[in-house]
Amino acid sequence: MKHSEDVNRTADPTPAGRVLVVDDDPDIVANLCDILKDLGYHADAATSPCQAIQLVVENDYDVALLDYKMPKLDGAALCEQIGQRRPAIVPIMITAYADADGIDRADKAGVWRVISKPVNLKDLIPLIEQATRNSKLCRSQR
Amino acid sequence: MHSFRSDSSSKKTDLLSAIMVSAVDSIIVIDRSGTIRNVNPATERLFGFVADEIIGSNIKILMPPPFRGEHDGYLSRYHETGKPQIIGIGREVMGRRKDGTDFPIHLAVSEFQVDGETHYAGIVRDISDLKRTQEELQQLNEVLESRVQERTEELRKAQSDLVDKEKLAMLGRVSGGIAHEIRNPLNALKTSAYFLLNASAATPEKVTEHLQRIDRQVDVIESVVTALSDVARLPQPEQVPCDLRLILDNAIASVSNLSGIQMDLTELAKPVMVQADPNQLLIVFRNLIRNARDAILAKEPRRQNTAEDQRITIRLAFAKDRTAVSIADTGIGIESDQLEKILAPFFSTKARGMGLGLAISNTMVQRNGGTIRVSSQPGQGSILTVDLVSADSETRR
Repeated sequence: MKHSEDVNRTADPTPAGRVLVVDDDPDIVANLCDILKDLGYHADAATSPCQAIQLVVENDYDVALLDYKMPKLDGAALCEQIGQRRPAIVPIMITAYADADGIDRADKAGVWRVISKPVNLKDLIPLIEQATRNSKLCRSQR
Repeated sequence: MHSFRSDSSSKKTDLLSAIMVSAVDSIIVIDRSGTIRNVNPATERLFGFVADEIIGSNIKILMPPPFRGEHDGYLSRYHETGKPQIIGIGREVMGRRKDGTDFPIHLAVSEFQVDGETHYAGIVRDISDLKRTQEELQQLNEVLESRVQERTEELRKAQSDLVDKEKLAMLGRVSGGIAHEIRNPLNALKTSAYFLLNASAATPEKVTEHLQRIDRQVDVIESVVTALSDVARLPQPEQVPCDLRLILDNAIASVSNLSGIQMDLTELAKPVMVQADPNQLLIVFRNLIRNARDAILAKEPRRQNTAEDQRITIRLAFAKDRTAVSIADTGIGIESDQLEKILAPFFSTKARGMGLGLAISNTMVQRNGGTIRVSSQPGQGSILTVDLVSADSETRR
């Protein structure tokens, strides 16, 4: 594995995290899923908020990567919906452009981190690892 | 009256005398040299003199400068030229009381002869109140005028603030839109590059897939830049007779992701010719069909029962020298409050959209002598009608 040195993969060797990737651009979800799978994660792709909710109902995840701007339901609203169904999922928002109101709404919806597009994977991957640990910790304490 | 000469007990004289005594206005009689010969009680009240103090004095005693110095001149000029300056006319001048205070008066002078001697009778009315009122009115007018100017200035400023604010808001929307439209493909590019550089188990198929994705996303950025430069300098149309049917077919073919949508286009036996720039019409119809597709795809899946519900209907209508193309979709529709903004640049109802497609299309159609009309039922769909100049009628002219 020749992933970046700064990615500390020894902290939580097992089991691999489960990540839901939501973006209305199919190329973006496919890319993130490819990268995560290559790192050993289980990754599912959703290209609409509807599909995302359906997947959350059917499967459990540790982390959800959510695009902010999507038709019908934005990332903040989707985050609330996911939180109601599976509160242990740690939501990370990925946004190309969000105004102050958008950031505020994401905060209120319980988003753990907001990162901007284009994403720097050297930043995102450690965040996903930490989020996975947080999620598993949250479950073990229940 | 005391010093007014009354020769007899004739009733006429009594009457004149009574008028003189009771008059509200001051009446002053002078002779040719300006010497006061008679005054009435109103004169005493007005100027503060007792009649005996002024009878025999020159009328100048009742005038402040500059009238005082000029009065002799007035009289002699009149005697020389016979041209009246005040006699029979009346004007506003200043009077001076015994105590030295001045006040505005209206003076009317008449000329008459008694025993072959010329006299002048002046009727003097105090117009202090009138003048004061006039001045107040004038001041009020000035205040009003300056208030109007203030308010106008405030309004102008508010208007210009509003324009600035609107411009800023527009700039915000534009930069937000552009940021979003470009960062998304950049995100895809960056993640593909990361995968290609770092993936431990990248099969040749995966590598190809990512390279194709990179290629595709570069096209997306290219199209954003093209749309922006289209706005920057919309080319002047080159209007020629062109076949609408051909353009519609090409437009439909150029729109991707139409597979799940039923395309209903009237079969036509012969070409339908319109007078327009075919390249611009292709852009217009491509934009409209793409919008129709997006409106349909934006509908929640549960609200689309069958493929029947996903339909774009294109119809042609002819009236006089016009040809109308209507594009109806079964999409999400447009809320009534957004309908009026829908043709404006940088306004979009899509999650992903800079709001340039319809604005550019509208401008292009207008430059080709046409119009775009929009009607919509929220939740049911929209109809966009492009009205164009028929080519046949154009050639007939």
